[in-house]
Amino acid sequence: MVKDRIGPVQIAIVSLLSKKPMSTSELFESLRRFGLRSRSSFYSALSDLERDGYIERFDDSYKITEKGAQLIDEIPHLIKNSMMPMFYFISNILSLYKDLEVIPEDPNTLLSYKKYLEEELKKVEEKLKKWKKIEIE
Amino acid sequence: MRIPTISFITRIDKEDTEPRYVINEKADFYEIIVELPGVKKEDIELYSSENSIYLSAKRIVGFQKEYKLRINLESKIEDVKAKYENGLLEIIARKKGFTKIKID
Repeated sequence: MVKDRIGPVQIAIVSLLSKKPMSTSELFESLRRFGLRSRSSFYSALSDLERDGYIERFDDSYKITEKGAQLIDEIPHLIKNSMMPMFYFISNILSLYKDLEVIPEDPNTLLSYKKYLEEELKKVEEKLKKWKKIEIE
Repeated sequence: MRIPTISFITRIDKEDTEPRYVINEKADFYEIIVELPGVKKEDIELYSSENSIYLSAKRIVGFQKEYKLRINLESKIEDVKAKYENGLLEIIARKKGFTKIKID
């Protein structure tokens, strides 16, 4: 099975086209407002999406295909499974600087960090309460 | 200073871990059959919530493989039972509010 490479630029393009068909320049202008600077990343993402059948040409514009609409449903899954580990990775790198005391370790900061973790733990426990383990015969 | 950029490239790999399964919806229950070839019963974990089933399993003999499956059902469920035999996991999830009436 050939797998499609999906990155943040591709996700942004499909999300924009799910609202309405847009021309190449409208798409790039919208993404530029979100902070995209690289034209080559944009064109490469656009051609990948067209090649893989997520978007198609429509007069002078692009529009989303059925496959693209399905990708929209996949976005929370993609973010959770692929991008979140990257954020954890970055926060782990940042934690290395704790030893260098870039992040303050004063009691106030530690207490608020503890409070934050306790609140997060409560959320996890609430979510876990919704699940029941099933014994398999 | 040049600001570093991080590019996230990911793959849609849901099909790599999702086992094959079928759902048969009846009036008062769901029957879900999941194929888990080569998996031992003790390596399967099964959970249910108000209207979902979550399964994780590992095949540790031969070609190792990890399975993950979450099924969201339209109706709320209760009284979930599961049986594993010959690589097939059969899950019976009764729809909430339905009770079986015994006919004399």
